[in-house]
Amino acid sequence: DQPATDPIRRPQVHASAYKQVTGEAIYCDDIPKFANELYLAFVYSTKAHAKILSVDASEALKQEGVHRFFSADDLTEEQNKAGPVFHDEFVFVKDVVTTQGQIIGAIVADNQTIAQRAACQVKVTYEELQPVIVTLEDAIRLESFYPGFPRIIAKGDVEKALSEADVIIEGDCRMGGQEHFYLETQACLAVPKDSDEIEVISSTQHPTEIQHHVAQTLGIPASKVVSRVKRLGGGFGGKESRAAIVAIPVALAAHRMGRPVRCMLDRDEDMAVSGTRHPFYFHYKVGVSKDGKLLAGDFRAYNNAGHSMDLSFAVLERSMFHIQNAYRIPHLRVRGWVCRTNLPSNTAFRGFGGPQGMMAAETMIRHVARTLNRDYVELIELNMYREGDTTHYNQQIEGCNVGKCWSEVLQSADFAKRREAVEKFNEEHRWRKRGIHVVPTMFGIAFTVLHLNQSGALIHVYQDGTVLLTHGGTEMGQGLHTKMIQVAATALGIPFDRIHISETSTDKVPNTSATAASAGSDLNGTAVLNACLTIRERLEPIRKEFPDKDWNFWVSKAYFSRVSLSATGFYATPDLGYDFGTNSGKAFNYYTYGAACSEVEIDCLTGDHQVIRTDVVMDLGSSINPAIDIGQIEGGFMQGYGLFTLEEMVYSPQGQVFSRGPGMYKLPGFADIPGEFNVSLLTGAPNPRAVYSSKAVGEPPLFLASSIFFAIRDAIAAARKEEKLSDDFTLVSPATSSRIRTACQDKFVERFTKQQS
Amino acid sequence: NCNVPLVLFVNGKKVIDSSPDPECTLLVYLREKLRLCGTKLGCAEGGCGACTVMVSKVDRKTGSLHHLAVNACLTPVCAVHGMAVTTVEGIGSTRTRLHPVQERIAKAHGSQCGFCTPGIVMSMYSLLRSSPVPSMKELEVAFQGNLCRCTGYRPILEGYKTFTKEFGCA
Repeated sequence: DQPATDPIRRPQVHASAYKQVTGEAIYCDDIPKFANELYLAFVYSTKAHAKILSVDASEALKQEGVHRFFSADDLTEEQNKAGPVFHDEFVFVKDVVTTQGQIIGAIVADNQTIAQRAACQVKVTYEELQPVIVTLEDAIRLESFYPGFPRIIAKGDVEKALSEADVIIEGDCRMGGQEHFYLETQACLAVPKDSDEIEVISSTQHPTEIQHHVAQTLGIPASKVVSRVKRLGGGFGGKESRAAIVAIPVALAAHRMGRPVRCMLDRDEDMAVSGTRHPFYFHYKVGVSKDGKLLAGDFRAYNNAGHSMDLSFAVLERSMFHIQNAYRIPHLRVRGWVCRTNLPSNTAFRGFGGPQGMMAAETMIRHVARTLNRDYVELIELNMYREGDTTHYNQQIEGCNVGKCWSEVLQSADFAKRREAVEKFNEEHRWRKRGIHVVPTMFGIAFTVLHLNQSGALIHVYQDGTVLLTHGGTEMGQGLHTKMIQVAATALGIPFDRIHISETSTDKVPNTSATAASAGSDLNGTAVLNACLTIRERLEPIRKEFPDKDWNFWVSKAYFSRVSLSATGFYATPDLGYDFGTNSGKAFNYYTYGAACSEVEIDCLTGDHQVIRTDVVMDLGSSINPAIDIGQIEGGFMQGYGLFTLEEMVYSPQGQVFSRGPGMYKLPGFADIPGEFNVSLLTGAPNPRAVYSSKAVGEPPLFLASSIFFAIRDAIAAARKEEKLSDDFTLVSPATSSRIRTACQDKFVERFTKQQS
Repeated sequence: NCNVPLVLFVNGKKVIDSSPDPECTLLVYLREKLRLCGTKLGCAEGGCGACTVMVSKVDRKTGSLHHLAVNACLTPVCAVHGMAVTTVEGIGSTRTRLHPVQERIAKAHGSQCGFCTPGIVMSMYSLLRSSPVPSMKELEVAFQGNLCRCTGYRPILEGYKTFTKEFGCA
């Protein structure tokens, strides 16, 4: 009985899709040049840890077309401070560099070629310092931690419960980082205006933060900085805080020189300086009863933050909140350390520590299964959260659908039968092995920092009845604007194409949070809804008076009756607020659940693999837009697939980033998708805690790709069985072909290891 | 003979440049000189395909016409002398009409952030120009040089499957 014009819950095509396919959609660097525009290029540190002895730009400044060199000397100490949460970074580093790729200065010139060439001619001399810390292992050994360690979440009496357990299992889990590889790199264009105003157009997930950073560095009030974003060519967390490292210097140059300035990083620069997902190391010790119930767990988590804190503490905390994934562990303690290393500062990446924490849980429960000689599926079902269970951070789980997703995927993937087929295949093949594996997930939705859970919207209705809408969220491909238009169209009772969202800008909605934590549509959706309700209320008397007339008539009538047709909307997620001190208060608004089953075939002789089939079931409440949500599941899943099997950042022992482009860094391509890929949404599970009963979708599906990792591990175990080797081996993520090949130990690998030693 | 100007066609229009810069890539030329910004810079090393355009040339020996998808980021603009370049703007627009290659990827939800889309559109378009009813295999080969970080690829292949032999278009 839903009217045909009502777009909610329909697979509406992305609002910009038609512009994107013709090349008409405008991204930051597509904005036409101003006649007097200049280009900025950075001078980066080339050492990972060194004292700067001198910076000499005189040679560079002699070049024709070079206008100016900016460095720390151009700023007061206060103005030079940067960093999203803690101001422990510099706009321009001085005295001591703590990672390669740190920004020392910037050359401003007529165009990109001149600027980049001149930047190479800036002479920096260093005195190298020790130590250079690259890996987590080194950081842990040298106790190189950021202050405030360890962070602790603890529930119950872990020591006592461990001592009473029948079996104790101890092990560890190691995960590499991940480059975001948004197709559009970090970019910014800054245009100075009169009376000290400046307009900053950048590719960022967090225009408000750019605004405040720019205001501080320029020493002007925030009210004079307009930070705008039309769309991003991908963000994935990489433009939540790190977009500022480009935007601040560009804005500074524009402000000081009184001319528009632009910069878009080259891919090699972007990869070398902007940071990645956090590599993690976990240690676990769990106590289990004879029948396989998890009784107690003691976890340690370490993440590699790089040279500054950035969002690393929040990432660590989310990993600690998800350390048990979907399993009930009545006595649980998790301690976390943020490691200071000489790498570029690692930052948010879709999942935000969640996938890493859940990886520890899944590694642990499979370890338990092997030790008890039990089927992991049985063990998971035995320990899985049920309605009303309480997490280790004392949140009661309501609407617990993880079990539903799990049993539905087992059924739709025909798991039991295919598992037998896999075993049969493995008996019949020596050098090719298959594995099939299921993984559940449970992702907490909300920013773990309370005040960020707010948002705003601004709506204008024009006299012709068309609507211009804006809200705090940015569009980076996730279809947020499309969903927001759907929400507004339904709330106002008008067709989708009467509403337009042009951009996100700090002069329309102020003090916004980053478009992050998967919460974009939850937060902004409700704010948009509230703005629409205000408009509806104002039109209500007219609507009542002329019930047989249409929207256009009511709007026109309202205008002539001098009724305001512009409104703001605001929303703050209610009853949140977790306190680490007391381990109480609600950390999350609700959870997004899911489960996936994947089957792989590995080539034991080369380490190559193919994903034969994947089945995913996700609980997204009542989806606002199933096409966009399925796109998020598939896209998130494939990013997770890259994380767990293909993508490996390589650094030199001196802290140089070697992976600087798609040639060195392999992300999933067309040929890497599962041969068969089935995604379904859980039905009949509306979520009362978000707009139009929907659920957040961005990050939760990513971890499900670990089903491929564990399927590969199973296949390797089958190969090892041929050589009478145990299935208790370590497989570090990502399971690259080299790791797969060497784990499939046989006479060939032996020869290689002998040669090496 | 250094007095011969560079001559190429871009989306059917003749471009004559009497002093082309030998260091200038086709990508920079398209974006900066001709202001055709549909073609994107994603990596500048031929790995991501965001800069894919179609180059058409006549094989002088056989007289036959060849259509190739090339990475504009690696192609010197001087290397396309005498050839015809087609960019994403050259095959359709929202103001006139979309090319089926554009329409199908959009309607199949194969464009999220949209930054890889023009490159993928041009890989598909170039394939169709040389092989009007390609096989699924040909289609996958055509995309070996294109990366997308958002969609997970499935909807793109799903949308473009409709062009293939296997789909029954033959």
